[in-house]
Formats: sequence, structure tokens, C-alpha cells
Amino acid sequence: MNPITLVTNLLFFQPLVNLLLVLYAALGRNFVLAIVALTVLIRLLLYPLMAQQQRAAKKMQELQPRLQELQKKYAKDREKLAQEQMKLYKEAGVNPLGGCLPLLIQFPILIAVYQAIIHVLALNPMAVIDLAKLLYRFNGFPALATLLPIQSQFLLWDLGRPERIFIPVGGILIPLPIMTLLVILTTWWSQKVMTPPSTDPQTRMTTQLMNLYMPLFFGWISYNLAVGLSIYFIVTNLISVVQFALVTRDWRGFLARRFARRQEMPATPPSSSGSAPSVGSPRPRRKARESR
Amino acid sequence: MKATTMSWKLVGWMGVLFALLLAGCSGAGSSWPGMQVAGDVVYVADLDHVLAVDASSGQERWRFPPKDGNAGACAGSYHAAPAVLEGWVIIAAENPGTGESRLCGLERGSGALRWVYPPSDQPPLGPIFAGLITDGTRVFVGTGDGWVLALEGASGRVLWRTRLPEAGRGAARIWATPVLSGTTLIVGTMDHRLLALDGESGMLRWPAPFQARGAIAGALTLDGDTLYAGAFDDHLYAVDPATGQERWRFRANHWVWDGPAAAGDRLIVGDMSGQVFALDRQGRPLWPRPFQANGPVRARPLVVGNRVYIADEAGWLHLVNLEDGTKIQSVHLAPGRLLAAPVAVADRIVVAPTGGPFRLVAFHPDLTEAWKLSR
Repeated sequence: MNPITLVTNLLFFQPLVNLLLVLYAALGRNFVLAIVALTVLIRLLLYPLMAQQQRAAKKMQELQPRLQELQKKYAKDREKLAQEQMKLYKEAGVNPLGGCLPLLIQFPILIAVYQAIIHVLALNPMAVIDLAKLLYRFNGFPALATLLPIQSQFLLWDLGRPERIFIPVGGILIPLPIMTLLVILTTWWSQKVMTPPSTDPQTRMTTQLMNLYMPLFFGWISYNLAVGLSIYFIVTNLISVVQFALVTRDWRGFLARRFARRQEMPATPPSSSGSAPSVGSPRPRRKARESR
Repeated sequence: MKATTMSWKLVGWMGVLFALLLAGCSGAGSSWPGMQVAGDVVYVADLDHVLAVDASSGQERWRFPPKDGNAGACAGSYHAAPAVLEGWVIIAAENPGTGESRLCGLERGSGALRWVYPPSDQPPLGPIFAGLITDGTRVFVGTGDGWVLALEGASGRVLWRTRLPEAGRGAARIWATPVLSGTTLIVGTMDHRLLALDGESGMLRWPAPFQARGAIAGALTLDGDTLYAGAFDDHLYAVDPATGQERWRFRANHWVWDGPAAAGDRLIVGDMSGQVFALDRQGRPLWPRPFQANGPVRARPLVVGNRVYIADEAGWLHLVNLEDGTKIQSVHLAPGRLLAAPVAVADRIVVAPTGGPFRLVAFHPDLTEAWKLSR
């Protein structure tokens, strides 16, 4: 094992695998609940980073009018525009890529969560060979190993396998990817709720593309990988939306009002995050609330 | 604006990277090669092919799928140890994408495909990791979704099929190669149980299954009137095969995967911490201290005369004195991992590494190399 893998396993992957098993044991040997609890814990751990992203986004939002002025002023001199923008960022103490940090951290987490789910489900002998090296032993006793095998069946699905549910229609088997559709729907919903609108045509087009691309992308991942990961995606999306509601303190029908508000909101800065299961981030809506 | 565009690009590239990583993660093999010996021939299911190899010379006799042939419904990956019976080699072919499997009957002399069960117009079986066993005419198979089947080896006709109790919860997976004790077929399950079935009908036999505290994943050992099973609760269990009652248990240092090798008055068993123990028939240690391998010992050791051959996951094959557990010799086969049990055939010790450039490596009894078969 190379040193990087060793350190990653020791500090990150191994604790995650063991935590998942502890949660499984604590939650009545229900693996879906264990995934949900793990997701909540991860989101709680990432909350400081999310807050940092929100602050960066807020600063960017405040700078937006001045940035637009600069764009108008230096419309024909892109080099000068870039210089002035950087100067403005520097003056305001804003790192324009600061919002990317949570993304950079969340992708490895997503991969580790997927690996943890697959390893703990121990669907084949090779996975269990690896799992044997990851499980903590308590006073020399393999307490967590006695939890194996995990009850991987959840309603119609085997959590460790891609969902392949078919319904016969007129003698033809039609795929019914329920979990995949739920991932697409919740990803789209969280994106829609959390991505601010923009009057800038280029940004609007980018946002629209991302709102289409990200749900499909995560849907594609979900269809091809274990259903357990779909559970993680769905829960993450729902938590993102709830977290957004908490931050904006806009609980009563925030969703409906938000869509309505979009029609009348002034120009807001482009999002620096793509929301979606892995990249979601609520953004303050103080201005919007004040305008109501 | 540039910064924003950069962020989106970053997200896109991260997405691509993420997809590639996940795709890479799911592409690994699901198990290790399975070997079976008959006469002077080693039959090995080595992931992409099943090969019949002359053990003396290392010459390949045939392979399935053939180089220029079509495997049809038996295309896929192969890792369960084949069953070899008069005129036939029965293999399990797994669809690596779904894990579903089919059983395929090959002509023993040529490797030509003669039958498939279930046929391609019927739903396949669950994953098959357990080795296939035979009583000479019938083949017994345990599947990863809790089914046990008996088939006629020459035709592939199903004689009976039984789904184990509680298999519907996704727990009673069978990974352990079963054993036949007279007319009783004994299977170990991942949900910690040993169950006995009537070999003629598939009906359950013991009043209650034997219950361990950990998964029973490896090959069972039947020697004399005692059944031995390793478990992930660090124990080796000795069980009465007629009743399913425990006789004794031995606590190792880590998971015990495969059952022990039985040799005369002693049992040799390894664990996943790399320790190997010699026990008497009451489960009492015989060596002054366990032999310590260089990696986890998943596979059953091999005893030939007064020598023990121990394969470890780090790719070492150790030659150890049966009497006192002292090391005589070791060879390293890295980058291959040794997860499959070594076999003795035609005065050769043959191992099938997982990964690495060689499918099979054969040694003389003193561990000098005899031949290698490249991938």
C-alpha cells in the first residue's frame, strides 16, 4: 500500500467505515438509517465550510453592482477589466475562488462515502478482504465484524447494487429507475431553490445549463452505481434544502415564494457553487426578504 | 465573471474526475481464482478464462472461452472453483456488471461448451463465489443469494433447488464452499450459520442450524466425523456433521476465513492477522508459537507429508515444518496476492496469484520454481 493511500485510509476512510457500522448497530441494524445518519453528520461537520462559502458569496453579492460598473466601463478592454476586478477583490478582501473550497472537499468525501457504503455492504469476497483491514477491534475482539453481513435489502432494492427494476408492459420489460428519478428530482429541486437568478445573460445561460446538467449527471451516477449512494444523494439534497431554509429563516412556503420571487428579483451575482448533492450551498436572501 | 466561469469549469472537470474514479472503483474483480485438481491436470477459473493445465509441464490443454470461440451465455468472469467429474468440468460464469451467474457444462477433454443452466432465455442465478462440489455424478452449488442447487453433471438438469431460510432478507449468502458428509450437504452462510440439507431432496436436516457469531465465508473442512468451519468472529468451530452440535471452538487472533487443513492428528489453520496455528483434534495448540506470515492468511494451508505450505495475501508462499511450525523457506510472488489455496498435484505445488503477470506458478516441493503460466 502506498503511503498516500495508507494515510488516507487511516485518517479518513477507516473512521468513516467504522462509523457507518457503529451507526448501523445503533440504529437497529437499518442500513438506510445508518446512511441517513452518516449524511447528517457529514453535513454538520461541513457546516463551518458552508458558512464560509456563504460569507464569500455574500461579499461577492455586495460587490456585484461595482463589478457591473467595471464591466460597462471597460467593456472593450478585457485586460484592464481583469486588473480592475482583481483590484476590487483585493480591496474588499474577497477571494473569487473562495467558494470552490467546499467543492474541493466534498468530492473526495463523496467518493469516500461511496467506498465506505460499498465496503461495508461487503458484496463480494474481494471487498471483504479489504474490509478486514479496516475494521477496528475492541480489546482484541472483532465486535464490528460480527455485524456482517449488512442487511442490504431495502424495500425493492439491494443497496449494494445498481437499481434494475423492470415492469412488464405488453411483454416488454420497461426499466423503472425510481431511486434515480428521486435523485434527479431532489438535485434539481435543491439547485432550483439555492441557485440565485441573474439578469446577466451569460450567467443565466450557465446556470440553466448547470441546473440541467447536474441533476442528469447525478442521475447517471445513481443509475450505474449502488442504490446506497442514491440514498446518500437524496438525503444530502433534502438536507441542503432544509439548511437553506434554516439559514434564510424562511420556512413557511419558502419554496413557493421563492419561485414567485424570482420573477421580480433584481440582478444578483452568479453562483459560485453548483448546489446538487455534492456542491450545494445555501445563500443568504436578506435583500430578497427586505424587498418583500 | 471570469472567476465564475472558472468555477463552473472546475465543477465540470471535478465531475468527470469523480465519474472516472467511481468507474475505476467498481471495475475491480470480485473474487480470486478458484482451482480444482483431477489427475495431473489443474483446472483454474482465473477471472477471464477457465483453463485446464498440465501440472507437470505447465502446458495449457484448453481454455474457455477458446481464443477463437464464442462463450455465448457463459461469457463473463470466472472465479468459483470448478467441479470436475467423469467427462465433465462444471464452471460458474458471472456477469461482472450485475453479478448474476450461470452454470456451464464443459467437456473435460476439450473444454467445449455443452450445456448452460439456466438457459439464456431464463433469469440467471445469483452471484456464485463458493466452489462447486460433486459426488461423482451430481454437482452442488451455493449461490450468493441463498439458493442451493443440485444438478446432474452430464446434462445440467436440475435435481432440486432450495432457498435457505431468511435468504429473502439478503443475508443468507453462500460464499463458503460446501461439503458432503455422506448424503448430507453442509453449507455455511454469511449470516453466521451452518445448515445441513439432504443431498437427495434438498430438505433441511438438522433440527436447528449451527450458529456462529461471525460470517462463515470460507471453504468448510470435513475430516473423519468432524466438520470444521472458520468464522469472522475469530473462531474455528468443530461441529458434529450429523447433528450440528458444537464440539469445541478455538479462538485465533483474527478472522478465520477458510477451514483448516487436516493432516494426521493435527489441523493447520490460518487467520487474517497472518498467524497460522497447529491444533490437535481437541482444538489445543501444538506449536510453541503460531507461525507468523507476512500478510493475512485467507486460504487454507496445504499439508504435504511433514511440510506445510502457507500462502499469504502479501504474495508470499511459505514452507513450514509441520512438527514445530518453523520456517524452512519462503518465496515472494509480488505483485500478485495469494488468496486462493495452493494445491498439490504431480509433485508440484501450484498457486494462482490474484493480480500480477502470472495465472499459475508451480513449485517443486522445496519451493524452487517449476513453471509459470503467463496471463
